[in-house]
Amino acid sequence: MSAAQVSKQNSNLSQLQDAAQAITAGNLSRADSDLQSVLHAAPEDYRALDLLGVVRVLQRRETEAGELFRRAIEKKADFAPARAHLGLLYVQQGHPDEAVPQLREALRIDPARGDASSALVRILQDQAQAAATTGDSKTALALLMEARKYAPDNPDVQLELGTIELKLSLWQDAAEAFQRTLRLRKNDPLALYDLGRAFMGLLDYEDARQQFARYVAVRPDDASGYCALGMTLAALQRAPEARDQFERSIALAPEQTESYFRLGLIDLDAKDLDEADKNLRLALARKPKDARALSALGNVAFEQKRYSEAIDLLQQAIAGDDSLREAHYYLGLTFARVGRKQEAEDQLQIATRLEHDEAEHRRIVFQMQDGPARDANSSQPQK
Amino acid sequence: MRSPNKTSGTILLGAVVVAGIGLAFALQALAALDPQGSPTPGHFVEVTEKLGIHFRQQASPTSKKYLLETMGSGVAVFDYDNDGRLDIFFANGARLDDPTPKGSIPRKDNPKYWNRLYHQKSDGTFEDVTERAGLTGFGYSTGVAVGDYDNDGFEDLYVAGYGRGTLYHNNGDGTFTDVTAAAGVAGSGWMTSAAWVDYDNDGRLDLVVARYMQWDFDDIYCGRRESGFRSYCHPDAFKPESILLFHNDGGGKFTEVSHKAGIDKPGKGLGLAITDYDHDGFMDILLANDSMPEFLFHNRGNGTFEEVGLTSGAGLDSSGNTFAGMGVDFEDYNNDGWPDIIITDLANQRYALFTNQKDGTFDYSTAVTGLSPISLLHSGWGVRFVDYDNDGWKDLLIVQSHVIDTIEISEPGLHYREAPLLLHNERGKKFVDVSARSGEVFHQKWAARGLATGDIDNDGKVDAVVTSNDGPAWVLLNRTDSPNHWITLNLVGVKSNRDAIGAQVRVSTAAGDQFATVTTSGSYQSSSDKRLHFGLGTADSIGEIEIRWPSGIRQVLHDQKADRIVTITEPIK
Repeated sequence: MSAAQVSKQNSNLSQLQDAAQAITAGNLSRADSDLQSVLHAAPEDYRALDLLGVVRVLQRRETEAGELFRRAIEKKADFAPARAHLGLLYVQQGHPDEAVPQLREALRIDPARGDASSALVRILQDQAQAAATTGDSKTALALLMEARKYAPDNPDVQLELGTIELKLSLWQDAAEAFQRTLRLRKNDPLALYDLGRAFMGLLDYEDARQQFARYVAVRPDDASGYCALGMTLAALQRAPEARDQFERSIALAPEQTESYFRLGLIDLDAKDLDEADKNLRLALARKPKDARALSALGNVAFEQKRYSEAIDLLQQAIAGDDSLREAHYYLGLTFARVGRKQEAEDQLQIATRLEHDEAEHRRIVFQMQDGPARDANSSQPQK
Repeated sequence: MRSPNKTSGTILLGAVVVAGIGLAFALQALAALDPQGSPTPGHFVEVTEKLGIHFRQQASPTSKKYLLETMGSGVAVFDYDNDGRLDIFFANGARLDDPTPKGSIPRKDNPKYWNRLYHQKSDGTFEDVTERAGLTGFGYSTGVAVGDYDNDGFEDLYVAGYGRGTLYHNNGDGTFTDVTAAAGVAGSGWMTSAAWVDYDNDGRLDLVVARYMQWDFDDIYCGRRESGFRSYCHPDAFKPESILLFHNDGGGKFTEVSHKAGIDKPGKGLGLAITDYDHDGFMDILLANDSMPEFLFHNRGNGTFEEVGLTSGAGLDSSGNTFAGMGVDFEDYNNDGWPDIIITDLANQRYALFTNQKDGTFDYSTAVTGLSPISLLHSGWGVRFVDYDNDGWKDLLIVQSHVIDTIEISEPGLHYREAPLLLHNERGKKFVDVSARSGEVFHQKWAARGLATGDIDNDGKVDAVVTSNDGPAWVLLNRTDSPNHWITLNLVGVKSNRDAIGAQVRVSTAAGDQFATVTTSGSYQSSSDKRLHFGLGTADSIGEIEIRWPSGIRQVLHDQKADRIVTITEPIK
């Protein structure tokens, strides 16, 4: 490089710095003038093109701004500021789909660009929410996992990711996401509650119980927290404590069904059939077609040897939800008791098949957790 | 019945009984009103080394995590030389290569793999008589069943194994002869528990052999692909296999009749128990299946069986879920005269207690008897209904361990090694965990598998022998502090099979009736003393003993003294 070229380059750099300071100071005409001067001397200067694009954005001349950013990128494809600015411009113009590739590229070149990452994360969160709303949880999951890559310390992203993972029964992943959320935002009620649910999915009832206990401490007026705590205690076979929680939940929200249903199940386990009958009918009074409550009430009728009523209730339950294994099981047992042998065997076979399907489902969940590197054999769960 | 040392009320009741006033109903009513004290804890003392027993099961763990290497081997408690003292036989594993070629039958190519027979000497200690007895064994041994199949008065042994079972005829002189080939009972596949039962009441014991799955030494990877995470495969990865039923034709010959008898429904059998659950005079068979419905083979009485596990309510838990059935026992825990079922399984499943409803059906009673919170986080193998404190109610002794030796990594809340469980039976209504107060034994973490019971020292309290996977065995002598009375009945069949297996006995005292069936089967891959032991509480005599022999003969004995071992021979008519 000759001395004249070095001198000219230094002059351009000085003018670019002046322009940047002018933009920061809000003196757009000064910046415009400096940048035009640089471009006059060096029409290919991508930095000047990019900064002039920024000036045009601030001047609300967005079409020109976009053209300038694109020219800067043409001149230097790995110039992160132009990519980021073009992406941000697209966001401003309401074209997030076009913004995403520019922002991704900007972050690929310069992972530290905060403006690009926060914009991209916001877009990914919005897109994930839209996908989840349409039931496309897998797309939502992919988007949020990408968002987490750019913003690992964003508690909202962690929470949303955990929520989607929970929806997909990816219990372990969900638990980890909620735990990260709680590290970033202590006692976040939603994270506490959903972490409890994730532990339930993992059959880790004691950890689930601890989360719901923390949740009710944070939100003592929420009936659903006591109900969830009661469910974990019931899973831990701590029936008296579970009963207390369900009763607290009912005291806060008498119109609910879930706690009555759960109380009915505890009574049924304890063979307190009259009390089970009472609680399950209270659940059904509020939700007459609740298949689970109908099934449990059918179970009560079976235990009381009121077989005709049991058949009626269990068939109603199956009509409402034919995947209810317990309803098929007790319908099968009831048919067997009244001598309807073939129908009994049919129902019992359905019950065992449903149980098997659930096992298959769990296997799939475990396979997804471990990623695609695993082979078919390794997807077998441990005994 | 309760120990008299609880309250002044029960002391008074005991005095009434001693005075000979026959107010049985009043006594029962009063006892029911008596406030419940804390249940009598057990006291079991581990004396294995002191007694001269040094057995160690060789599982031969490999990097391939062959399922065979985590399922353990069983134990038998029986009197092979008729000296009145119980002896102990341990089944053992064999060498597994790493890897082991598919189709291999493992070999006992080192004495450490031998099965072992320990003879109890007159001083209560044991001596290893394996070689002299000719019982070193073949292949990878799993289960063991004791029964006098030729009615010659000496107990014979069937040792189940992977690939082949072995029938040992007791020569009556301290030696045994392998008669497998001549008898035709080698079987095939992965055999687990075995049971002797006279299913057709012809006076000869037949042989039932459970099989686990269609399994070979394939290199199947299960678990996460990370160091230390390789795991034993779930049974769902393998196809089920049918049970084997060998009919005893006499003359030392057997015929495999499982298909003809309708008992060849494929299962994943681990535990095996027999009883006549519906009192029709024919022995039924319960097969504890792993992760599929449990099988209850109802004996139709015409040489065939009908599998009624699901329809009887004994196939699944109360939610219609399968569970990993492993150990099993089939006895009357609530003294109503009808045999009930206990099946052990894995953590998060709860041990399954099915109460006989007296109409051919069963009720899942795990929750209502208090077993749910006790068993939720435990994994059980060998299990026996044992009245450890002689109060007249059969308690539960369960030996435990998870099946996966790396379970702590994948599920930190669970444990591979676990202490045994001792559950006190509260008058047939509840079970209470008394393990923590029942001696050091119940604080030791074992990878337990097999469990056999019997009164080893003939002191009137039932003792236990436990095996572990790839580890030692333990002899546990029952030293429970209880003044309760007892009686042990040694039944000898004449028209019936000589072991009297299948005989149903009712023992009646002022406090009520108790029932039991003669069997050596139950638990997990193990065989227990065939003698029937009854705790009698405060009763020092028995008003009536009623025996229904498999031959159909009914025998009644009156006014029997307690605290002794009585031999009762089947009457001719």
